[in-house]
Amino acid sequence: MSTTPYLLVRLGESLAALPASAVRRVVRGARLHPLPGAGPGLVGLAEFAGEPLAVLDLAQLLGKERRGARPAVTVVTWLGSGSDRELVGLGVDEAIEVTELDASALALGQALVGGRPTVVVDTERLGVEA
Amino acid sequence: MTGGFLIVRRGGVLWGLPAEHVSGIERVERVEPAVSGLDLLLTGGSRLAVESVLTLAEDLAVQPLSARLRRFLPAGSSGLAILAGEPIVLMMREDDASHV
Repeated sequence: MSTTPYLLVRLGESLAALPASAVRRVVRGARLHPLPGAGPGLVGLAEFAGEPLAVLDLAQLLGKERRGARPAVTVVTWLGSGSDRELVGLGVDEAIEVTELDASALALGQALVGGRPTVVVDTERLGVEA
Repeated sequence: MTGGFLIVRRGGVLWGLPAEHVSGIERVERVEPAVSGLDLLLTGGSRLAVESVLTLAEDLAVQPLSARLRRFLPAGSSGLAILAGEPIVLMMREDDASHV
């Protein structure tokens, strides 16, 4: 059975898994600039490797309600594919570990990790309006 | 003013407006909130209140907003850039600036 590495992250009480191949860096305590007037889902703007980086709230992108403080950890991640590919920050509460998931998990959009239901994020589609 | 972006701070964030869309800068005393600030006078006749004017940036590496990110940024935002390590939201058209 083939497996793929995923970065397991915590969103409040929930878990999500990001394809490790799309993750460029995990940053704790990134300097974020909240943007007045921005739509829900944008945590703020940051600088990464000399480039501007929009930091999005992964919980809200997945349709979950954010409760409490803004995300403590920014996962710098490639979203999209091909010419559409771009680097964004995904705000999460905690980056837990890299775990191997069955290759079918992405198509299913969910998996069990340590017995807990986990959203498996498709970074090629994330943030694209239906 | 011609050429480049006028970099201002508004709402604690840096914004860049095309310099040719700014016809003047005026100091104002506001009653509510009771603070002094600056108004940018835009070529279309409208004003934009800002906290401070920082610089005129001639050369910015502009990162246009993708369709994915556009919906998260305030109306009128068209790109992002970095100045001295701090992100800037760029506005491209004067009529958009009034929405900031």
